[in-house]
Amino acid sequence: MYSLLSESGLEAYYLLDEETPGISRRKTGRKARYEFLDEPEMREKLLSFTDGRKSTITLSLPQIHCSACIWLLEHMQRLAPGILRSEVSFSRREATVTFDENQTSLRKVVEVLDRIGYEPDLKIDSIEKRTVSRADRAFYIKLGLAGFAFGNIMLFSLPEYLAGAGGIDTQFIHLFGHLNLILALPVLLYSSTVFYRPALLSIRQRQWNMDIAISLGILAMFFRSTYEILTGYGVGYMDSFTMLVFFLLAGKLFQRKTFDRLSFDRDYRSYFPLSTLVQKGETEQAVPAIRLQVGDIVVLRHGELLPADARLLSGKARIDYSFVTGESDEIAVEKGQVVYAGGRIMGSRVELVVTSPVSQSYLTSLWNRSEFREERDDTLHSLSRRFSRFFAPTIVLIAIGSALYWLPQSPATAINAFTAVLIIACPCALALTTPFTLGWVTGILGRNRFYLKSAEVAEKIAVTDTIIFDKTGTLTFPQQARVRFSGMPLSDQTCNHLASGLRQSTHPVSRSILRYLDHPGNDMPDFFEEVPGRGIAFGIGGKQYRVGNAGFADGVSEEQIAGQSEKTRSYVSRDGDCLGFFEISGRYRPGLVQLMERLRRRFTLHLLSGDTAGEKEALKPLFGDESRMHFEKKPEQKLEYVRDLSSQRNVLMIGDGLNDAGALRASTTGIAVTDDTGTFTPSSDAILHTSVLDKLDSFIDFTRYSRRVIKMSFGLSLMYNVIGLSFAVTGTLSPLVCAIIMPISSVTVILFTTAATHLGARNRGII
Amino acid sequence: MEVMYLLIAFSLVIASGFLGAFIWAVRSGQYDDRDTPSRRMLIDDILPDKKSHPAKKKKTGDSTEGGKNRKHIRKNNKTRHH
Repeated sequence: MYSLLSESGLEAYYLLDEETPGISRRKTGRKARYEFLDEPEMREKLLSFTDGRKSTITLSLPQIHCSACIWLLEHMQRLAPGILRSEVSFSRREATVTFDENQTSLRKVVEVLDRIGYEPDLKIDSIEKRTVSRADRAFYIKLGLAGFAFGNIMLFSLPEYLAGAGGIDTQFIHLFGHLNLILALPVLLYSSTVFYRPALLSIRQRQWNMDIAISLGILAMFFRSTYEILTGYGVGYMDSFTMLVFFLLAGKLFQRKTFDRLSFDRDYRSYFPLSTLVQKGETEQAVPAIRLQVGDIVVLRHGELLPADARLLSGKARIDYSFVTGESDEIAVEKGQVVYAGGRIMGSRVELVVTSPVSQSYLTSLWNRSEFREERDDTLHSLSRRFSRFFAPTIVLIAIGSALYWLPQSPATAINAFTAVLIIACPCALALTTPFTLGWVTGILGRNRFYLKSAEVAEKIAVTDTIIFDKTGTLTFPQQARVRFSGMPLSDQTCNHLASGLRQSTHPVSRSILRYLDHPGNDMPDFFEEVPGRGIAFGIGGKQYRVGNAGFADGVSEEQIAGQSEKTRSYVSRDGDCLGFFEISGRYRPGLVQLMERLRRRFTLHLLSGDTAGEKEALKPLFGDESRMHFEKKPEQKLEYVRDLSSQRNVLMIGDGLNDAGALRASTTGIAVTDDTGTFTPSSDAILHTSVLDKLDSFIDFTRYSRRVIKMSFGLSLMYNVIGLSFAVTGTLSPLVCAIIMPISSVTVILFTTAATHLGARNRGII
Repeated sequence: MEVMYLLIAFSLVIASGFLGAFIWAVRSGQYDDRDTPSRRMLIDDILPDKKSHPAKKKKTGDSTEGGKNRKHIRKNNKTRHH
């Protein structure tokens, strides 16, 4: 890679970032095959724009990790001819490349990227075109427009407020009034549409929500002001009106903290590769996975994924299903047996014949279930929704009540009182409470590497009373325990001997080492002895081996014992000489025991694993009750278990693999854990980095606290409402009072929620 | 006081100009990605000369050399946008 960059005069790449000078090129062992990118059908689906001469494609590059990446990728036109322009979006980990079709091709562009270490993430779902959201842009314009109107109207309103007893010239009042009206019009017609739509929807569903109260307030303010201005009766409340809309929109923007580079809505399509090698006569050809047909012969090598159900043609294979089913051990498959989609081939090259297409495989059928088709209602546990259910009707009742009270005496005062109540009760502070509190919560949790899909998820997490854990990949490290050997280099023969001996033992440590050695180990030991709690001794080929703790193996030196931490070490000796030791990091994630102990006091804990019950005894102290531990559950069984449980309780499901996808979907809140936020995670409400799994209880606690903050803040803004209402019901609400109460209440609420959330986060040690 | 009318008209025109600029900025996609540009601008545009050793270049710190390179890149950028 260096030579390529050097030729192109791009060595500066290595000067840019001294801490992380590029991630080392992944050794794939063979060149990735991109022939399928030359196919017109593929090209058409992948390209976001083409006119035959120039084409543009947006590629997902998960390897983007530093500023130097941006620099390198944006200088791609120096690396290969025909690339016209490339632009990186760091937050989304994407590069948009424009290239000249006459000089280069999509395939060549992708190959260049692959060569410099940015292998594009071409998964089946990348051919389904992503539409760039224009809604965001419209929102900014709405906000900008409201801010513009608010600022200008305030300037025109201030002279009147500050003029004192004499007032200002009537001609200016006229002019300012009419200017305000013109300025406020786009705010009413465009910026405020954000509130009308949910309000209308809610009316249609015969429910009260906050947007109804807001919309009523907005309309009352605007039309009363218009009436006052046009009749020359007063100056109106246009300043308060635009201020309200501006504040509310700003609150909405604040709440919308998104984590662009994370994807919360993935399914199997973003796990399966876009193409696979198919045997065509004598040659192997890369074929798009969705075009695989029954009868095609696919060729897979070590570490590759099988995208469709297929029958094994070549001799033997070992399949790693851990991500798909949760089984932690590899499964040996004989010729003629079916291998299911999603299995990862381990070991040597295999040939398989496809038995069903990608969309109908055993695994993908999970996504055809109703749970995946229904939209989930994230606001079910929203405090603001519950609160507005009584708040909005109360306001309308008070407004009608005061109108009725004044009606016999003076119809004018009745209308005044009616509109004044709607104006002052317009829940500005109230509506800002939730966005600001949850916006801060989402941000603080995000800084702790706990990413929420939306702010509403925080409220769902807060009501959790039951937690269900997946085992493989969640409680344990994915696949193998981490094994490290230190000592003299082991020859192939020694490895084979050790593997043969260890194969006889069922102890978890032996099996971890066996997997690490990765040797067949088919020799039969001459003798074999296992001393429980100490180690194993065996003889092969006239040599005596002892594998076990320091006291069990022979000739262990002082320095080899030194530095032993909580990690397990297994010493190896041959014919009385110590060869070194295997160090095995814990299978379970660090801090797990303490975490489970803390969680057990407050929640009901369940275990739902696709793996065998081999670790039941080891996990029992963590969960306490055996009846809530379930093993050998298929993905759909997991889904049903969680669905049944969440019909009565608020279930938090934590999992990582494709096999948990259904369960995550059926739970109240689904959290996916991952070691690397760039890799695949099943669709979920939140993504938790494994390094902070041990803080889970603090996070849940923090979301609960945030609900208390929201409640307190509701109380605060209600207080302002009561003060304002006491003015309003008498029919005397001056624009000045309105213009003072609204910003004061909004600012207090914003300050209160900001301070309270940060204080709470500090007390819980997560800030 | 008549001058007030002129001033008000003037201020509105200027404010509308800024609003127009904002709307243009949003529409041309400048608010789509608010993260990358902040990192991009931190990277120096100057490419090291192909033959000169990085350490040597640092020592001399020749400003004219940098200026030349910068011009060179500008030219590149122009051709790139065609």
